[in-house]
Amino acid sequence: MERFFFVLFFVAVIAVSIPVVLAQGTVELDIAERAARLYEWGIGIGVIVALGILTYAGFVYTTSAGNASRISDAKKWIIAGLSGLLILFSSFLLLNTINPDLTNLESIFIRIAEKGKFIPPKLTLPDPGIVASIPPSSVVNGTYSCVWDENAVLSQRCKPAIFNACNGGFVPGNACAPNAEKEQCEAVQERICVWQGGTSYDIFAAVARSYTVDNVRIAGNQYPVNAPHQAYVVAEPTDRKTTNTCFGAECGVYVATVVRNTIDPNFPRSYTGNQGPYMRNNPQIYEMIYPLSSIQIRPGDILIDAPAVFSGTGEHVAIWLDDGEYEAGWNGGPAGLPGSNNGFCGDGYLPKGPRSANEGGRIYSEFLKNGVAFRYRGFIPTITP
Amino acid sequence: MGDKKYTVIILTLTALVAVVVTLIILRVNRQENFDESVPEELIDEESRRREEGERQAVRLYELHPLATELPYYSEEFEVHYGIKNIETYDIFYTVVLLPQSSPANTELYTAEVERLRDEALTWIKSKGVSPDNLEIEWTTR
Repeated sequence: MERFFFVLFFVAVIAVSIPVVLAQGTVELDIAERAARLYEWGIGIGVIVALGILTYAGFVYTTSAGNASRISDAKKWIIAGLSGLLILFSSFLLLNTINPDLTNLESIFIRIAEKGKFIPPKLTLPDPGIVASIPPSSVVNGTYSCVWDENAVLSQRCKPAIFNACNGGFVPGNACAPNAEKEQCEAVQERICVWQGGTSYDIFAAVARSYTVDNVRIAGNQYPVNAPHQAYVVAEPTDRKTTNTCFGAECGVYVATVVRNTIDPNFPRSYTGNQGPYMRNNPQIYEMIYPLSSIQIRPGDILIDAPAVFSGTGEHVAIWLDDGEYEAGWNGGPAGLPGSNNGFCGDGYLPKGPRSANEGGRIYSEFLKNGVAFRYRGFIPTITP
Repeated sequence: MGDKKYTVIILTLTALVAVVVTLIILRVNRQENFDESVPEELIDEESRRREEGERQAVRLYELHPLATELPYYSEEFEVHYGIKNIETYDIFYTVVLLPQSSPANTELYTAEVERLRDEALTWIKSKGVSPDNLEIEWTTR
């Protein structure tokens, strides 16, 4: 019997390992992600062991040849295996049904003070209330270079040699000038990075502000050819923005451009009906505050209307910084509808902020009527040793 | 009888596994679908809803002009508003006073809260609105 289990275990290890070995690319996981993987592996291994037991029991049952003792043994094994599987799946199902967040592990923040003094991990999340008072973060030196890609579309041929080359930090959108000639582009070598490794609220806010085209609402089809707008258009995601700069006036595209380049590279490229459910389904990244009143809003929050989150039929998304709401607005409704512009975005506006009182209130009122704030969990306050 | 029992258990288990696998597949697919390119028609629909929201906001702010200035933050107080009923455009205000003194020193604390309250009322009046006509909830932080 021992030999049977040994063979079964060996087969299971091979079966699990092959996809891992064949996988390409590497990823770095933080502690929370590793714990989550352990949890998933635990469930996987539990299932494999239970199925192994059932297989063994089936083997004993079919080869019992009427031997009452062996049949009894097989039944005991079957009950044990089935009970294990039932417990395993019921626990996951029950927790997932009660609240999907229960099957998602939250981040544990371990902090190392500047002088290297170890500070024990806190199991509570950073107090969002102090996010606004985070002082500027220290810059971690790093370098980036630009390369010329002859095969890319015209406005994207000059690009960073390595994405996120700056110690895991952020290469600014206009670091490799999109309109540069080949020689100019390739002359950008070993430049010091502007941004630090990791993300704090300061970087997030700086990036959100850097993409605002002007301090007034500029219609989507009357974009100025200025540096911030150029940087915004070529910053990832570039979907549609480089072919139709007007598309940059879509609220979801602006928020995605900021979020993907700072805190979350997997954030959906556009459309509130995708972005709301994505944030809700990733509670390990975003804390959800709902229902919402303006007292609860903190700098760094992503504000979105509740229908976008819960039914995928949204209307607006924006970023709240310490001086107010930053947003873009696409008004290209279908022809014939009141207020529409027959598919053009002339009534919309490119990224701007902060929203002012004469723009229909400092905050888009629907957010307070039925809105949700998603708070990035990684805005870690600076530690004073 | 014994065989039936096992059949029921196995069928139940199979159904359970099927449900879990379906849930996992749906979840994985949902995650992938989030980043698919969205047809412009959907974005247009989204924009139409936002325009409707902006129109409602215009009506709201006509009735409650102070709300356009909110939320308001200062070192001494904050003024917020919430919507009670969007159909009737009823809203309420919350003023958060931010005293620096400790509640343990009752006399000093009360005096500071009173002063902050007066300042908040003065700010509201400076916006051309009478606080007497507003539903205000006062609180401290």
